[in-house]
Order: sequence, then C-alpha cells, then structure tokens
Amino acid sequence: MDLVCIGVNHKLCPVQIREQLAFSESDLPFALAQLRQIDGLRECFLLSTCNRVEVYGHAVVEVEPSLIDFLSDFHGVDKDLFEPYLYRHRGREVIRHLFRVSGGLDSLVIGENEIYGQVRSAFRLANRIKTLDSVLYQVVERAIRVGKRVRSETKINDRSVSVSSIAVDLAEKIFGRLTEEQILVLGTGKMSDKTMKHLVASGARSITVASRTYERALETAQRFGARPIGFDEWFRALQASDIVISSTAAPQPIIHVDDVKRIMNQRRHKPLCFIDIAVPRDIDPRVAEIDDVYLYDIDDLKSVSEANLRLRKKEVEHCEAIIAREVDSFDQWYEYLQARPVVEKLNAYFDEVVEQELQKARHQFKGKEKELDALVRKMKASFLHVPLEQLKERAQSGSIERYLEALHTLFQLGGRRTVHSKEGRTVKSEASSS
Amino acid sequence: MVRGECVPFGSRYRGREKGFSVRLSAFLIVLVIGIYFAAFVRYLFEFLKLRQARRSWAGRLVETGFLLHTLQIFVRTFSFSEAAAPLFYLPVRTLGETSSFFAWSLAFVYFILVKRHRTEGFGLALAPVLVLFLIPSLVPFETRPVLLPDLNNRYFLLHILSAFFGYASFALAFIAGALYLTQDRALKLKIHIDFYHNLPPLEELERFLFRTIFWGLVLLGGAIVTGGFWTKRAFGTFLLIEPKSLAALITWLAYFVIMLLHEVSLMKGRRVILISVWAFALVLFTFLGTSVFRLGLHVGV
Repeated sequence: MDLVCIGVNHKLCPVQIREQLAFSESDLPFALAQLRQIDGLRECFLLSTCNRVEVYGHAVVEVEPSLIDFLSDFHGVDKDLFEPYLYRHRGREVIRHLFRVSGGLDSLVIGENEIYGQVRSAFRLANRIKTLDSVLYQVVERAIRVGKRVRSETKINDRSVSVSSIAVDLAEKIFGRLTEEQILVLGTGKMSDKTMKHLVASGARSITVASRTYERALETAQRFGARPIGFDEWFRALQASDIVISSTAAPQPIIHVDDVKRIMNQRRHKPLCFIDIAVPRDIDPRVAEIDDVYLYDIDDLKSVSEANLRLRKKEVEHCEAIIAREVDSFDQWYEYLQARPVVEKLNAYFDEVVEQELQKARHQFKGKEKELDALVRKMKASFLHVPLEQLKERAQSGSIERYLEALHTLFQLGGRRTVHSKEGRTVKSEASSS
Repeated sequence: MVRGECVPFGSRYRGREKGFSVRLSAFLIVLVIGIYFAAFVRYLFEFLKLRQARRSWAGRLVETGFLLHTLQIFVRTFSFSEAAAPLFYLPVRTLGETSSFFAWSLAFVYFILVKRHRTEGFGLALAPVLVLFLIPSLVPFETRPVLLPDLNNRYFLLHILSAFFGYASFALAFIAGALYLTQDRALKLKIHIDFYHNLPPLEELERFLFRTIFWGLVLLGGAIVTGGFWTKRAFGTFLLIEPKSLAALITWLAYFVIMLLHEVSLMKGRRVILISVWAFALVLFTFLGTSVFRLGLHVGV
C-alpha cells in the first residue's frame, strides 16, 4: 500500500520546533495546493494543530523525501532541525495512526474531543481543494467514523479532565442545568476565561464578572455575554449568587466564613457553590463547614481530574480493539479495491467471447434478439456469481493476490499489474501477456 | 379484597377465584418481579458504566414492569368480582396483596403523578424497592377477617385508593430525601463524587421531593376526607377517634408544615430535607405501626 505519513507531535518534538512547522488556517489551502504538485503523489491531506503537524500522502512512487522537503521549503526551516523528531509511517501503520489520532488516543489529554473536530475540518478543506480521491479519502473518512465510534462506544471522554470543566460539572451536580443560576466570577485571568467558556457552553445565562480594573471586567464580560461590575460591588453581587468562581491574585482570602454564614441565613440555606481556583486561595476553607455550602479549591479539582484521567487510560484498551477492527475492515475494502480492474477485465473478456459466438449464431435467432440478450445477461451473471463471491471472501481473509494472479493467467487478462501488500510493500508482477 | 357488607374478609369469597385468572395473576407477578429485578441490574450496569442516558433501557424495563403489574392488578381485581357487583374489589386482602398494591401505587405515583419531575437516575433506587415490596406477594398469606359495615361504598373505595397513593408519594419523597442527603455528604466531603455521577443533581432531587410531598398531601388529605364521609354514612360521625385516623391527621399536618416552610422560603436545602426524611417515620407508624394497638376501624386493614 502506498500510503505514507510524516509528522511531528507533542510527544517527540519540542514546541519551539512544532510552532515553526505549524500551518495557519490561511496557509493550509496554499500548502495543500503546493503539496499536490509533488510528482507521483495521487492524494494528500494535512493535519496541523497546536500539538501536531502531519502530512499524509497516497503515492505511486517513493515520496517521503519530497514531503520532508515540502515541510522544510514551505516554512523555510532547515530539515536538519526537525528530522530527528520526525516520525514516518507506511501502509497499514498510516491508517492505524490516523485512526488513533482521530480517536484522541494520541492526544496530550487522552480522549479529548478537539482533535476529532480538527480532523473533520482538515478533511473538509482537503475535499474542497480536491486533494483527496479514493484511497486516502476512505482512510480519512473512516478515521472520522472511528473517532465517533470510540467516543460513543467507550468511556474515553465520559469525564472531564480539565480543571475548568470539572468546576462546571460540580456546579451542575448541585444545581442541574445552570440556566437559572446567578453566577459570579471574581478575577479575569486565564482560568476564569476557560471556566466562563464552559459555563456558557452549559447554558449559563446570568454571569457577573468582577475585576480590580473595570475595563478588564468589561472586556471579559463582552466576550461571554456577561455583566461587568467594579471590584467594590462584588460583595453585593455575592449575596445574590448561587455559584461563585474566584481566581483573583489576592494574597489572602477575600471571602470569610462569617460573611458566608450571614449570606446563608439570608438565603434560607439555598445551596451555594464556591469554586476557588486561585493560588493562594481566595475563600476561607472553613466556609465548607457551613450547611448547604459546597467549596472546591484547585487541589480538589485536580484530584478529580487525576481520577478521571485514570478512568480514561483504562478505556484505551477498548479503543485500541475498535481501531484494530476498523483497520482490518479497511484492509478488506482495499484488497477488494485491487480486484476491481481484474473483475472489469473478466467481464470484458466474457462479453467479448460471448459476442464472438453470438455473431456466428445470430441469424438463427432473428426476431428474438431481446430474449437472446436477456438469456446471455442471465448466463453471464450466473457464471460470474461464484468467482466474484469467492474474490470478496478472499479479500476479507487477505489472500486475494494469489487469486488475482490465477485469474490473469487462466483468462489471459493481460497487462502489467501492481499489487500492494498489507505491509505497504509494492509488488509488481508480470501477468501472462496476451 | 375490599367489598361487601359487614362480612369477614376472605371467608365469603374463598374458593371463588377462577383457576385461570389465579394462574395468570401468579405468572404476571413473577414476571413483574423478574422485570423489575432486571431493570435494577441494568440500572446498576448503567450506573457503573457511568453513562447518562435520557432514555435508558432500565427505565423502559421499569415502565414495562409497571404496565404488566397494572394488568396483574386488573386480573386479580376482576377474577374476584361478581357480575352483579356495583363495585370492583381492590386486592388488599392479604399482606402479600397489600404489599404488591403498595408497590404498584409507588410506580403509579412515579410514572403518572410526578412524571414531569422524574429522572432516570432515580430509578436505580426505586427498582429494588419495588422488588422488595413485591416479594411478599409470592407467599400465600392467610386472609385476615375484618368486620366492617357499609364497605360497598364509593367513598370507601376512594379512601383506600387515595390512602395508598398518598403513602406511596411520601415513600418516594423519603427515597429522594435519602438520595439527597447521601449525595450532599459526598459533595461536601469530596468523597466518591464520581460514584454519584448518574444520580440527579441536588436541586432536581429537591424539586422532585417537594412535588411528591405535594401529591402526598393532596392524596392523604383526600383519604382523610373520603374516610370522613364513609364514617358519616356508616357511624354517623365524620371523625372517629382511633389510632390510625389520628396518626394520619398528625402525618398530614407534619408534612403540611414542612411544605409550608419550604414554599415560603423559610427553610431550603439540607435541613428541611432532613426533617422530611424524619417525617417518614410518621408515615410508617400510620401505615404499619397503628396495627399494633389492635383498636379501632383499621385493625387488620
């Protein structure tokens, strides 16, 4: 099989080199168009994310050095710089690798969903630029299907592993859907941003943002459709909130146990959830002792994250089994694909022989041409049925090559034929000439 | 069976059951137990698999079990009825029948009255409770003879039905409360949070709990009122001073106070739910405990 993949990822290659090889969204169409120009490359596909840059190809000749040159030339990076970190896959390994990538098994966070969307986007783009045709098209399309299967049939992404999404999950465990809850976000750091992104995705509609500088609160609030307030107003907002997410840079706690006790009395003990993602902590830990108050700090969230990650790792085995089955299924499809030209030739051979004999006997069937044609079609279908079914079966068991050779010899189908072995070797054979 | 005019339960009807109906009813009850048990196993599987499904297979099994149990109740009811009878019998004659009818009432309240508020995760706790209440129906208990006047009365039938549904509502509230408190503890202590992944969130449980208490109040209130109308007809007074009637009134008042505290926002969250869980002791006392006094109308019923 002439499938090839070269690439760098987060496991082997330092970020300083990865970022030099990454393709921006606007670069990708040009890069694909340029890649298509490589001699002997029938199909190509590019996957560029923050964790990986991979070039896939389906070629009739050796193209690996050309692909490395392409990466080097396009980015103006000396290939000596990235070659030591480069991985290369051929044939069946290319399929397995892309299936694992799409399933999230090769990701920094196992089972993450983002890569699935990225493979889909790259597939759409390659389709638009028309750099995919038959084989690589099937590989990428099946990789997307595998990504979906792995996520729906295993627990690989059942649990959140990022601190911000765990924070939102815990709030949902108390309040259910967050559409009616009043949410107060204290501080406008990177973590607050990530948490607000998850809150909005979970349907939260009433978010208030407080920051030491009103402008930052305003800027963050505008991005998430929230309400900005000045830092002097946060305590009043706290009294009306159901969920408080705090990540200020305050050197000591800003939310004290006595204040929360007073607030809980005013709330008649309606549950109140605090998520403290600040270091040092913003909320006095004794707050957790009050009835109906739920407090989670960064260590709590991290321990949940680690537990969820362990759960995901346990699922890798199930995912690998699915991937192995899908790779086998692709092999069968590919083996049968190789039989297509032979089947077409066999059909043509049969038509030719029948036509020759019919010419001799046609005058005996004058006025009954339609019936004769129907009879010939029926006979042809009956004659070819068993051999074609056998070919399909052999394709499934991976031993089609011998049969194709036999057909060539027995029926003198002619021509020089290329057979691709499972391991990716290209075997050229001379069929008996006509 | 509840019917007749001042006749001992069971004595008059013993031996009248049609053979086929009895066998069908026995088969159905075994089938229902099997289905509820399968639902429980499936719930456990879904729970441990940590998959949250909106329409789980376990939920469908419980629904199927409920429908078959309803059919069994009908078969049981009509297999004892006489053609000329103006009312049909309720199968609450023996301990086994009473227990089975209570299980059916639990499922009825869950599937019909609080349909909008139910969640799949709650079924995990409900399915084993239904199995437990159905098991006594497999044992052939003796029919308890009870002498009561004017049983052939619509008020009496309504009284029995609404009392069962009322107790079932409070039992569901108790289960929801127990789930709330266990989960609250896990969330507070940050232990086994994962274990509770598939259970409904705290606020959903609270809403479900107070919805069932609302129906419990309406239905137990209905049982008290219809019981009053029946005693007026039978004994000439609306209220007979006897243990079960008094206990039912106290239970109704206790739950009314709990509901009031919650609805006027005087008390929310863990405390009011803890009180509601304790209040279930009154329901148990009213439903089962008053029999020990062996006084009044409800002896043996």
